[in-house]
Amino acid sequence: MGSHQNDSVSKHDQSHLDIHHKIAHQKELKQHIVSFAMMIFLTMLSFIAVASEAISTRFAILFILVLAGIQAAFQLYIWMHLSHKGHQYPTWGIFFGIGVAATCVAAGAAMIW
Amino acid sequence: MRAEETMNKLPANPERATLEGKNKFLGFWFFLGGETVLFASLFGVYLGLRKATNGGVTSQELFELPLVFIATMLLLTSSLTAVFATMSLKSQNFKAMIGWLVITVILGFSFLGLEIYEFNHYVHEYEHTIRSSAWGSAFYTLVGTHGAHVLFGVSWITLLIVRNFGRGLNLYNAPKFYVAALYWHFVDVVWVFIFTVVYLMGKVG
Repeated sequence: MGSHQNDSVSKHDQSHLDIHHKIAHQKELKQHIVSFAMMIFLTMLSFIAVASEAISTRFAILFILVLAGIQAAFQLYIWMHLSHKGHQYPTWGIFFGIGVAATCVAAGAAMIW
Repeated sequence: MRAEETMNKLPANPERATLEGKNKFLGFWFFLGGETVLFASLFGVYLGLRKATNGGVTSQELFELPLVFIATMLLLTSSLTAVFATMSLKSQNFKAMIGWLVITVILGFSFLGLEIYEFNHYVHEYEHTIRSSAWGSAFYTLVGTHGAHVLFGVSWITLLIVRNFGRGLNLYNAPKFYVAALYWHFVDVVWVFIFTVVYLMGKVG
């Protein structure tokens, strides 16, 4: 899909473009609903893992941290559209932030006695 | 341009069609990178101090999972309605976009209501305050900073709705709506880590 349209776009081409937009729109809508269901599911898994007596503390902590990471990736790539075209710089920006963030967390968590 | 005007259409990605829009989009993502670091410093401190209860109430005794679960669902759903608003923006359906944003704001306020109830409960029933222990300070600073972001987000989106209500969607306000929705998603990303690191990890010990 071109990023700009000009005078030469005919009515026919326009309706063609509209149909393409519509199909893309429907596809995206489905994707969002699927990721919403996934996130609800992951959240429930986390809560169940913690509420359940059968799962050891150590494993539960590791498990919920991994699930949180997956949920964050869903949010960033699908809901915040990082996977779409034209997001190279934002990706660099946010990953730079995440890199510094991980260092911060490691420092804070490990170095406070 | 004329073809678009006569058919009353904006370009395919109206939020990034102008230079100003492109700059806002890029600048906002860098801002979110910085916000990530802000929250990371608070998370790091929280992880270091989460057992420092000073003889007071512990996280296992304090937290109630049902309340946290409801708050999580409210915020997660509001993130979905915000993404629907962004989709309506892209398909240039102004009314639908405003509708989804109004629902987002309502869900955001409900979340805030729960949080206020929760903090009030902790302070008055358990005497767990920001001054009672190092853990208390870390807890209220981290969760409170997130709450302040939610408050800022709902105020921002409300102002956008009110200011642009009679205007319709155009290349000037499309980036504003888009960026506000991004902010809202980010607030939800932070909450994912709060419910995991603070509440769930606090519950298992």
